[in-house]
Amino acid sequence: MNVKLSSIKTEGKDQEADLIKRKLSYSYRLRRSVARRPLLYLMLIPGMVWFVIFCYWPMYGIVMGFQDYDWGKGFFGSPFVGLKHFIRFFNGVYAWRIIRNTLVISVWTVVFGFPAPIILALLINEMRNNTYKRVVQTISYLPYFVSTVVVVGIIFNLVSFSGPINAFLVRMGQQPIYFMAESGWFRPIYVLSGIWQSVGWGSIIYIAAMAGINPELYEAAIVDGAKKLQQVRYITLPSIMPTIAILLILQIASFMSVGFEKIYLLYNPIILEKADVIATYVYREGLVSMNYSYAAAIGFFQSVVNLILLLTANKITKVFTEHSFF
Amino acid sequence: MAVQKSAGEKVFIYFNVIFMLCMSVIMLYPFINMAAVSVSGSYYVNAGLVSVWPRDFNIQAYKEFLQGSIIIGYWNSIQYTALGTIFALFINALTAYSLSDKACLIRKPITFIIALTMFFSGGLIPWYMVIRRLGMINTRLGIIITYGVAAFYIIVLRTFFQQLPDSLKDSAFIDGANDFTVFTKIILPLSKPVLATVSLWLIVGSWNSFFVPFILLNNPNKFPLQLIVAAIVRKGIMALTKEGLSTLSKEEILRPVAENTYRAAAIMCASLPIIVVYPFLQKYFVKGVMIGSLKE
Repeated sequence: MNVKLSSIKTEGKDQEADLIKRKLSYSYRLRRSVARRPLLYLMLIPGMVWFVIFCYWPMYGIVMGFQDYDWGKGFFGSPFVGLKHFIRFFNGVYAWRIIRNTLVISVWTVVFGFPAPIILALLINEMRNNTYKRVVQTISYLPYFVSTVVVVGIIFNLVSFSGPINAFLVRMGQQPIYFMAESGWFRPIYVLSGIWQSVGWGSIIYIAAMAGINPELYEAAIVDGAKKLQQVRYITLPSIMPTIAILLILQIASFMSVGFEKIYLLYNPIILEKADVIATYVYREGLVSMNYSYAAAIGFFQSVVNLILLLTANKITKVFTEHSFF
Repeated sequence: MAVQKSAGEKVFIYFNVIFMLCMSVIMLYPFINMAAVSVSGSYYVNAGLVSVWPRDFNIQAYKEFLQGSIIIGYWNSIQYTALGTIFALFINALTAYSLSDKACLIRKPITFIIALTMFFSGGLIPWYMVIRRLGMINTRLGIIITYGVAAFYIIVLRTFFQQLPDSLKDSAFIDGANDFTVFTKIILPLSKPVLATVSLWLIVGSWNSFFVPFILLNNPNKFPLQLIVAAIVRKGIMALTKEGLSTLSKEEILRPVAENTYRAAAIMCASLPIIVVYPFLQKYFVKGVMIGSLKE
């Protein structure tokens, strides 16, 4: 017994000594490396300072969600109040509404928006005339490069009372629709305009993935008598699966963060019921009503859910498709 | 290739050609319609009669804008875009250079620290408090230096720098060069394609950005173009609703330039620079997305 114990002890000591030696050698190597090429390390400093100030300081600032933040006392001195703000949020009337709206808009965006660029890429990939193909691609990317403000302006004009859509409805003998005043229209408008803006750009990455597929696979399939659809089903789609998996993970990871800009620019008080999301609520509570701590707590809740979603989606796709982000 | 095409495949080919034509029209029509509405008379615009061609051509809306705040907006946007892009490109490239060199022994933890910011952040309110603590609310400096430094750009640049042959650097070091001269004299000139791509993204992103200036600025003289256009675009928001329409006065309804024309002209002002340069620069954007899509 004694012998055993002592042997374990020495073994532990050996490991410790080993570890120290390795650590020493790392710090020794580091010092030597810094001495040899100091600029290589100095050049990291501006970037690091930037990330510490604008990313990690705010990350520390999350503590304000657990405090009653006081501008004079700052992140370090404000009194802690525990989960008060979270409890208030989840007991309030808005929590359910904004979480529901955020999730519904995200789900719609994934269900309708995610397959769209894949389908477009498959169709573009089948185009035979290269000039026509290039022109179509160039046109399809264009909306991606205009600002959210412009997209929202375009939406307002298209759906306005005298816009082309209502003009068409009237010509068809229908009643014109007040699109921006009926909350039922908000989600379709948001999701469709999103697809309009990003479908072309989203397709690039799939087209690139398809270009990398070995043509011999298709030739072999044709010899075996595979039809076009079968080629897509058994060659194209499996080949671009890694790309699909990674983009899907990224999209699911942002489920709880429907962007502020477009919602804020599009909505109006009449359709708040369907249009209000977490980001816009955080803005109104935090920077308009100045309930800083309360808004920071909601923002923290959102970030945490996003992180959990990212890790979960990554895990699930890893299990099912053997491709993952990490 | 003498492979016989089945009838189904032939139908598909025709369908595809027509589908792509329709898609192109859908992508372009809103822009063409905005352009036409922005130079049409109010009678035709309010009656919904303007589609592709201008009716009762006039440039009243543009004339009014060019005397007003849009010019200030243009000037501010140019400043923010130019300075913000230079600042961000410099910091991104500098950081990427160190991280691309295997001799930098802390590159793994630093890369992790940077990459983490892609997936987790403090959120809007703590970020705003930090900016306020730094005294950068309502300053031009705040807009310029908070923009564009990002893990994604650093990784894109680092990936490109890593592909450059080490031998170039080594021979420069033998000649007594230090890291900064290697960076400016050898690495940057060899990285023009990726620098062009990242700059383009930064320029377009800065020109189009709304959120940060919207949160940080409250003096209209410092507003970039997007904020001013957003104000014009949203001005008539209530008029888009049934309740709002009845609140418009008779003069507002009957005035010579229609609400939609103002909006369309503002949209044209904000998007014209991008639409004009887009066809020429399009291929650089596409090239960039390929570099960015490389897995680490």
